Amino acid sequence: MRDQVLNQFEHPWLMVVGMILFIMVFIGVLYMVTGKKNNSSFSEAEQLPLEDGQKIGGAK
Amino acid sequence: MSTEQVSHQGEMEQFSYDDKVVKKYILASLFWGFAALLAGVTIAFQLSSWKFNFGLEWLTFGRLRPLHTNAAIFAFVGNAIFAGVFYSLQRLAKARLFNSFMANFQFWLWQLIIAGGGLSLLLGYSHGKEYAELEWPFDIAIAIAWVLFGVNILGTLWKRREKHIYVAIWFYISTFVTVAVLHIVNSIEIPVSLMKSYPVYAGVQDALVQWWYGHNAVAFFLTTPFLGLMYYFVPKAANRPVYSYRLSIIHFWSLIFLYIWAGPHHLLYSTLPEWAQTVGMVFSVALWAPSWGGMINGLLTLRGAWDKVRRDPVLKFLATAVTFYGMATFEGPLMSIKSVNHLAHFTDWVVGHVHSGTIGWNYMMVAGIFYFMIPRIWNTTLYSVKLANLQFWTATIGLLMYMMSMWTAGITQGLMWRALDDGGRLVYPQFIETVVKIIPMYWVRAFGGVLILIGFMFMLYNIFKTIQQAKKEEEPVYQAPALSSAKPEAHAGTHRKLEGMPMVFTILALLAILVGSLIELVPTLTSHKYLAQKTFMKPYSPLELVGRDVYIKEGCYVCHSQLVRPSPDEYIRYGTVSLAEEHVYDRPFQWGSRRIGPDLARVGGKYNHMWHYKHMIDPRAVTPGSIMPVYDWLETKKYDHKTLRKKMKVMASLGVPYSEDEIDNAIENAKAQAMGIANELSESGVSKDIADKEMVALIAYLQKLGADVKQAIKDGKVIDKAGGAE
Ligand code: HEC
Repeated sequence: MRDQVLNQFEHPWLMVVGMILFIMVFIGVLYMVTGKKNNSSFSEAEQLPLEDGQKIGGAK
Repeated sequence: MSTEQVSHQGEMEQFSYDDKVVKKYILASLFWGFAALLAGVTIAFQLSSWKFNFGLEWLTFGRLRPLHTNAAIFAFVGNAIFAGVFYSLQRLAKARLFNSFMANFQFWLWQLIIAGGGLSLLLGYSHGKEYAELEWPFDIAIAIAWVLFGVNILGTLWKRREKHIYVAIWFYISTFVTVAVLHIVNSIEIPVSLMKSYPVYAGVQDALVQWWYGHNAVAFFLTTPFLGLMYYFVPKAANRPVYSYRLSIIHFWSLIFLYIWAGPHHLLYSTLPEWAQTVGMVFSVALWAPSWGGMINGLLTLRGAWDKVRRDPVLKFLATAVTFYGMATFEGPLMSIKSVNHLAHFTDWVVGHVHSGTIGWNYMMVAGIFYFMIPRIWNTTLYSVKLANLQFWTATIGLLMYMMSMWTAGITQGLMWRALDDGGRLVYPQFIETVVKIIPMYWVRAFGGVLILIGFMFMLYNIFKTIQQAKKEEEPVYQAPALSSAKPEAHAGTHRKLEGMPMVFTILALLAILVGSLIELVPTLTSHKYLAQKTFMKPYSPLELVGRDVYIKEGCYVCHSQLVRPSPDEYIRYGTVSLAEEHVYDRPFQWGSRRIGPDLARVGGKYNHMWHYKHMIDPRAVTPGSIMPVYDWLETKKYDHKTLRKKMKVMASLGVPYSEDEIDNAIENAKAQAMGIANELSESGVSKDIADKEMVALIAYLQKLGADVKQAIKDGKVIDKAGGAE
């Protein structure tokens, strides 16, 4: 079956391009999210769902 | 948008949230959810016993099944998405919805599409492409409603008071852009009349576009919006932040980048180019990692809150949903592996898999977020926690019955199809043997479905009582600092900055999904190999064309495939393996996804006209034990010849080699061919005059299936073989 798959592989470079792109995106994102300078901003962002703005009137 | 902001420290603004429209979407989702489940239970019983088709044309399995899938996806889940997104988006952005009129307009347009679309499916108006069955006027309306949704998301972000865009919103943005691209590309079609159109793609190309769409409807309609909702509602309900914000960023980008490639795993062993099949398989397996990354992130958010999961129905539903998500995204990649897929494809295993996703993940999520939102926006408390728990257990047990019966049925039937004895003969040469064997599992599934429906009714009652006890109160008012008072962050990381720029973010998300789409689609779409050139295939005759449209209208494709895969058992059972060339005139392609009945790609010439006639009037008269519905109205309904010339003109404009003469004489030609079939039938004893009825058109089409290939083999143009297409 392996031979059959390889024989009919008309665009092998496309898969390679796809994989390389994915690895680039993955490494890029990894690079962006690691690093200590994000620490404070991420812990701030984490809290976002927990606050709705300060309720001041209307229903309790 | 600039990151530099003038600083007006302390400038507070007052605002309120538009929860009225959220309420409407919740109620609509509940209403349609009930309808979708009811349709689902009905079709489950139709497979247990054909009698549940009730002999009514608009209630037959072929028409009701598309109604069930479309209602579940777009009506039940769709309305729930709008409710959940509008609720959480406003709160995450600390801003009122950009435009309430637009949201309300979108609401009514969406309900109109559902009601009208549902009716049209029952009446037999269908594209014949799964989850994209609605005809072209609905396609346009869907595009409009979807754009309104997107404008409201981006508009609300534009008005936001919170500089940073939380991870949930990225998922909403990617949902919006991707579904827009999918829907538009897959719906490019040429109208023949108000309720009939043909796709611009044919055969293999149509199949590729359709499953790129179909799979990503699962990815970007049933998954990404719900991951967004998970990232908002799980932390909210557990009252603790998401386990890892870093992981959520990696989760997001990897998931959307990989998902878009996975479509061809629906077309393994088909005539799609091998490389595209392999790409689909590889990326599907790779998807396992980000999917589980997300699941783990969701579940670990609950760390230290497990006692709450036991007590709080909201968390119970959410945690179970995330668990089922993990199961479904483990099973999916497994089923995409070619050798596993050969067993699973066309069987009930796939049906079971889908329901672990839609019931286990989507329905459980919807229940969780509704139980969270409803008491809050109606300003009351949940009527009964006990009833919610009861609902949880009935739904879970029902779902487990469903999944287990479908695994058993699918694997049993798949193994029976391929079983060969020592002499290389089929152990079960009669297809019906493999059907009768799994009927008990169909009963188990149907009762599992009934339990899920009953659980849903508990929820309806619980929510009805909750709303009934709500006190009427004014809209709450909130305050938060204006966005212009946000201080620029001197040391923010790159992604953090990106989160402050919704437009740039949207464009990057669009790029991420376009890369995979273009690489996968363009080579096949631009290859002339799949277009009609010098081929042994003859275009459909006018009568066959009409018959094909009857086939689509009755939804025969939901039970029958038209694709012989390269394997010994399929070769013996059906005949020579399918070739790409065979489908050059197929608009839409009709390869199907489930073989509840046998493959029909080689049925032409297998039986005489009389066999088909008897079989359509009463399938059990020729095949005892059959579960195929009765189609006796086909011998009384006249086939549609008025649009025939127009149909052929459209086909010709798409490249089908019909001459002017053939188009001009289409009606006469159709009549002549119909007369031939009717005469043969009347010689065999059919007393009714059926020469102008849908029955003869359908028979003409069925007799054409595979006929040209068989002729080409006789003429030595094609080699008759079991493996390796072309
Ligand atoms: C509920 C699922 C279902 C639907 C819908 C359905 N069929 Fe079937 N069909 C079956 C089953 C099961 C069999 C096998 C038993 C039998 O011969 O009836 C079958 C058999 C057949 C056969 C015989 C194939 C062979 O090789 O022996 C033909 C032809 C056929 N169906 C045509 C149609 C057409 C045309 C439609 C739409 C008008 C249709 N079917 C709709 C389930 C279905």
